[in-house]
Amino acid sequence: MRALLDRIRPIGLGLFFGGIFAVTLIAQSLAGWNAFNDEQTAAHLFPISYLDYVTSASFAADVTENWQSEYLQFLLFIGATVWLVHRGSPESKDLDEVGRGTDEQQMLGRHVRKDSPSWAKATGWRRSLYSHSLLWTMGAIFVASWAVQWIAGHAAYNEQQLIDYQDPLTLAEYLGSADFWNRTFQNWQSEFLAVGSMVVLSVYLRERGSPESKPVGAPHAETNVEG
Amino acid sequence: MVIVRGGRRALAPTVAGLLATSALLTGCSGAMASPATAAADFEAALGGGDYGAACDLLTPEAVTQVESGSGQACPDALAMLGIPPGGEMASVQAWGRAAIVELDGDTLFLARTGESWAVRAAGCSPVPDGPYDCTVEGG
Repeated sequence: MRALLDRIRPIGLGLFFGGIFAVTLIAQSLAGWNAFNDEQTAAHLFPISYLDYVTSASFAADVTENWQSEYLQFLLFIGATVWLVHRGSPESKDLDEVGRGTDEQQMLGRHVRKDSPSWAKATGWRRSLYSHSLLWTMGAIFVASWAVQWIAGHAAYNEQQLIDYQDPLTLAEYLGSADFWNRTFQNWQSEFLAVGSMVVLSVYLRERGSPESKPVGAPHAETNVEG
Repeated sequence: MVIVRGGRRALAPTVAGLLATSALLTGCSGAMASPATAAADFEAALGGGDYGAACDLLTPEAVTQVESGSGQACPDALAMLGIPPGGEMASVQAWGRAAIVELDGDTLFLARTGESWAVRAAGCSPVPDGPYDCTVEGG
C-alpha cells in the first residue's frame, strides 16, 4: 500500500481530477437519465433505458456544451496571459514581461538544456509548432467539443420540436437559433466570471500552500509569485 | 438522426423508395420497424377502412385521447374523425425517439415505443409560428 501511494503521489493531482471527472460524469448521466425520463413521461412517451440515454443526442449535447466552454476558458487564459497582465495576481506575469519572452527565458536556441523536449531542441516548423502546442491542443478540443454540441444539440432540439408538434430545423438554421446560443453563452459567461474572479481575488486573498495563491505574507501589489 | 428529407415537390418519392432509403441510411435490416413503415401501415389501415388496425398503430395516449374525446371505442371514434387520406409520402425525419412523416395530404407525428414506432398525432396542419393543429393528438 505504501509503495502504491509512493508511486501515485507524483501524479496525484491528475489522478484526483481524473477520478472526480469520471464520478461526476456518471452522476450526470444518472441524473440526466432520470430527468429525461420525467420529461418523456410528462409528454406521455415511453421512458428509455440508461444505455439509450448515454448514447442519445441529449446527453451528448449536455456534456459537450460544458466541455467546449471549459477548453475555451483555458484557451483564452493561456493566450491572453501572454499579452495581458494584472498587477498583484499570481496568475499574471510581471508587468514588464509582456510578450513571447526571449530565447533565454524560454530555454530555446543555445539555451536549450540536455533534458529539453526534442521538438524544443529542433529548429523550424517543429519548434514553432511545439512553442504553441498547448494553445493549439486546447483550441482543437474546444472546436471539436463545440462542433459536437452543435450537431448533437441540433438532434436533441429537433427531437423536442417533434415532441411539441413543431417542425425540425436544418443544421444551418439551428446554428442561428436561440437554443444553440443560449446553451453556448450560458456556459461561456460562467467560465469568464470564474477566471476573472480568480485573477482579481488572488491579488487580495490567500490559500496557504497552494501554488495558485501568493504566499500568505506577500504584499497585494506583488505580481507573479506563487505560494 | 435524419432518415430521409426530401422536398415535397422536388423528390416526391414513393413509399417503397422511402422505405428502401431509410433502411439504407439507418443501417436497418428490417428487424426494427421504421417510422416510414409505421406511417405507411397506418395510412393503409385508414385507406382500407380497417380502423381497428389503425388504432393498434396509435400510441396508448393517442388512443385514450381519441376515445375520451368521443366517448366511443377507438375504431368507431377514428372513423368519425375523418382524417384526410395521406397519399404519397413526401418526407420522413426521425430525431431520437420522435419522427415526422409528411404526406401529400396529411402530416403524422410518431414516437418510438420500445422497438417499434407508433403514431402520436394525425390529421395535422401547420400553424405559422406554432405547433401543428392535429385531429388526433396523443399528449
